[in-house]
Amino acid sequence: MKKISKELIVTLLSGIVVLLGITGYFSYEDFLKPVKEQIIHGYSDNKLENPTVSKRLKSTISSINKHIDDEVGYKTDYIELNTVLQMLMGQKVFEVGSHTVVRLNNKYLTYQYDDIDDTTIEKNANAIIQLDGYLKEQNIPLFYCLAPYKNSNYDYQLPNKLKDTINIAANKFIKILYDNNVDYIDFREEIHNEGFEHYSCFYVTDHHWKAETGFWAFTKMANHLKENYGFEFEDYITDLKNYNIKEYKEWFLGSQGKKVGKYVSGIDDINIITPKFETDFVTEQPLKKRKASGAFDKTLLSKAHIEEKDLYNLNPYAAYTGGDFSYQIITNNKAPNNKTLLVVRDSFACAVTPFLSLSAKKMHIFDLRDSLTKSKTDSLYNYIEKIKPDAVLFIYSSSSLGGAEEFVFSK
Amino acid sequence: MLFSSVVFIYLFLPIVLFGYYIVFKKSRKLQNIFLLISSLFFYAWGEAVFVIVMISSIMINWLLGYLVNKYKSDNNKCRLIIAVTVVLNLSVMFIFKYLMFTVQSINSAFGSSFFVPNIILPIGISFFTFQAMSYVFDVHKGHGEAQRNPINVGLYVAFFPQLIAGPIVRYETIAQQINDRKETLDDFTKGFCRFVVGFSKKVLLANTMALIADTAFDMASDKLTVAMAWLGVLAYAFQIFFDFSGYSDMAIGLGHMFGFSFLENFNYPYISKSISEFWRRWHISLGTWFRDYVYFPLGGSRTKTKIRLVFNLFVVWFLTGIWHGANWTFIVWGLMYFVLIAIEKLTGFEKRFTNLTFLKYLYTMFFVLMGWVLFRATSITNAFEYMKIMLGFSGNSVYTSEVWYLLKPNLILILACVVASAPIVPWIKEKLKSQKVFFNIMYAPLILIIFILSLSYIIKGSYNPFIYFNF
Repeated sequence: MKKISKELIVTLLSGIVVLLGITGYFSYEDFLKPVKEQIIHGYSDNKLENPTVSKRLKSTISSINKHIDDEVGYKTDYIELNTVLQMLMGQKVFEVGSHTVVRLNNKYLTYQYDDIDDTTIEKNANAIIQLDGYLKEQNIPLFYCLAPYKNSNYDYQLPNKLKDTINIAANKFIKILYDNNVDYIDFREEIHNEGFEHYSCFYVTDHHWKAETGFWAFTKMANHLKENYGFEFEDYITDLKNYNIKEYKEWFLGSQGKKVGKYVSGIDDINIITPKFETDFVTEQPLKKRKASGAFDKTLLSKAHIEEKDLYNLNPYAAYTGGDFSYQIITNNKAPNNKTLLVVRDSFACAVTPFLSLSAKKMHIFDLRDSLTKSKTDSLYNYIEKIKPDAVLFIYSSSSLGGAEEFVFSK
Repeated sequence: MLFSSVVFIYLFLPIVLFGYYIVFKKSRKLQNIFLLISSLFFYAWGEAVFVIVMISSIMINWLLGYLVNKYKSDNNKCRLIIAVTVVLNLSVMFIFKYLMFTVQSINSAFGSSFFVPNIILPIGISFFTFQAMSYVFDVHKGHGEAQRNPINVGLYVAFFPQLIAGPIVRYETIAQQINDRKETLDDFTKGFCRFVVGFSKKVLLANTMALIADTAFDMASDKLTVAMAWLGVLAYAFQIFFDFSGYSDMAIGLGHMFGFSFLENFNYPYISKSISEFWRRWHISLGTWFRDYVYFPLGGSRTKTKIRLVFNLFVVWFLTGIWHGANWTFIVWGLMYFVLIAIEKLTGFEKRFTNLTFLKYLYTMFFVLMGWVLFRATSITNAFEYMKIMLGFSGNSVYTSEVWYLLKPNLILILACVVASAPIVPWIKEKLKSQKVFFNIMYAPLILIIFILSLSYIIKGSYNPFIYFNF
């Protein structure tokens, strides 16, 4: 009988390993269908500006490649194996594609960003100052809410003496707003002043603040609107005792956790907060022609994101609002006043705007990062002209300060 | 498409193997056509439009090969055809790779403002252009038959294992294999294992070293310590070696899987005791290409005068430098090697100082590392600034804890790099010949483990730059 060589054993076993990965491509819904769509429509439906043949082809191939990368079988097992290996070697900084995920000394995960240069900070701050000036001429108040970033200004936990680039940028940004009399609230300072443990305001494995922190931030914003800009409402809407809190234990692997696996910092619990009192809303996404009406949990919560536990494919944080939308309108049919609020936001507003909508009649919410907003809508200035809000609110996290789209308000 | 990518490992390679060994197994002609189409698809995946450049190159060189064979008895016509081969191929390379740099340099030198075209570099153009020229040269010299069928020339030039990063396969080495090769299970499995070794060199070692090297080279010069500068260049030396030799291992391994046998491209270059020896061990296929097609036709070392020898060396090393890239750093890098090799040849350095082996090794590695600083830097000024810091002439601090933070989680892999850079494993195997059974038992699990670990890296989408793609 011929001897089985060691190379043959390796080849056969490796072949099995590869075949197991290939099983991920047998799913029609998750792989074959989107790839088929890309091949058939991807080239002709390309949304690039001035697409040449070369760019279209590259873009189509890139999209197909992404599906191939995303659907390989046992992907999450490989991710977990990889990060465990790196952790065993003492690694705390994980390069994952274009992201750098850092395991802080207190086990929380965070993203590490490059420096945001002063020119960008000044440009973005000036965009706010200009808008504020324009709004003041129309007697419309602007209120800038700086949501905190995972790293604390007061409790440095970055390993390897890494630079806290985001807080450095946020400090500079806020100073410019302060020097130019823009009304703002810095939630990093508010957390510190209230004596909260900064990190416990966040999910361990996600970059967002917890739903409870978002609720607390809402109470701060709402009270500021009430005390300064005439947004009258009953105090019960800002009292957490009037809300149901449903806890989902070990249910949420956040954006950072999904990149490095569940063994690096565990799995988060997540709470869903809903009013005990009666509510009646209409939510619209005008650009996608979607509309829904009903109580808070039927319109402002997306149960699809939370009812099932799926650590790698679902984002329970997006249960609030349903995620990020380029343009959303929320009408409160049981509003305590007739005020209209225009909100410019990033994803930190997910855990805020559902509650904030209890304090106004109408909320127009814009996410300027979305391509739909950029291509199909007017500028923010034009929208302000049309909507004529009673106040304009920005809810941006510190990590959005270096953004390219977030501070572009004119076409 | 990269070898170290999900699409290659999980889709492309299994499909090509299936087509080659199952669907088209009964016809060598169909197998070759299938391999050519697969190779063009492989190239088009990364450079869809430039596959036209590749196909044009194949057709033109096939025609030139046909002509040089047809007029083989007419020396003048042959010389003309060879001249046309060189001019055409190098013109294409010049337009895509050097035109922008040339115009920028002229504008910079003469204060002119000629239009600088923005031309995208087709991946691997330096490799497949040299291979295509090799076809015509070898047919002319009678070192391989002229292929009647352009498919076979296409397969030779575009065969995906060596298409975008070598080794530069000489036509004479595989002319016969195109139609007359034998695939064996032994070859296939050994080829696969060689592929896995190359794959893990690239993914586990090169990519990790890349992170360290980039940290050092991207640091502002006033913050770069002496220790970090040395760590950076050592990491880069490992990165470029394992990146390129890993790719060569994968290419050679894949070749074996399809019954082809390519020549080795690296032979532990970091144990060299002279620069001349280094270049006999580093990127062997490029060195031998220039030796056989440029150096020897110029007269090589057998020249009447030393000046002619120096001139021949200058031409080779100038071209070697510029082949690597359109930047003055590569030209200076090549000329640095010209100076060192010329001195070595003129002084008989290799045969001398036989009792100072360690010093010779240090001398070699010192200049190799300095060369890598030039190679990695974006400009000559940056390179010299970096070298100044390395040598302690910049007034920067010697060390900060940043060096340790970078070293600590990578110590095991750095050790693996050191071990894999020298023939330590073959030495251990030789010493422990009696333990063959033990090695045989350990081999499979070890290779399987490094394969799975490497897969985990590419699936996680970790940092996966491939530096020799720039050529």
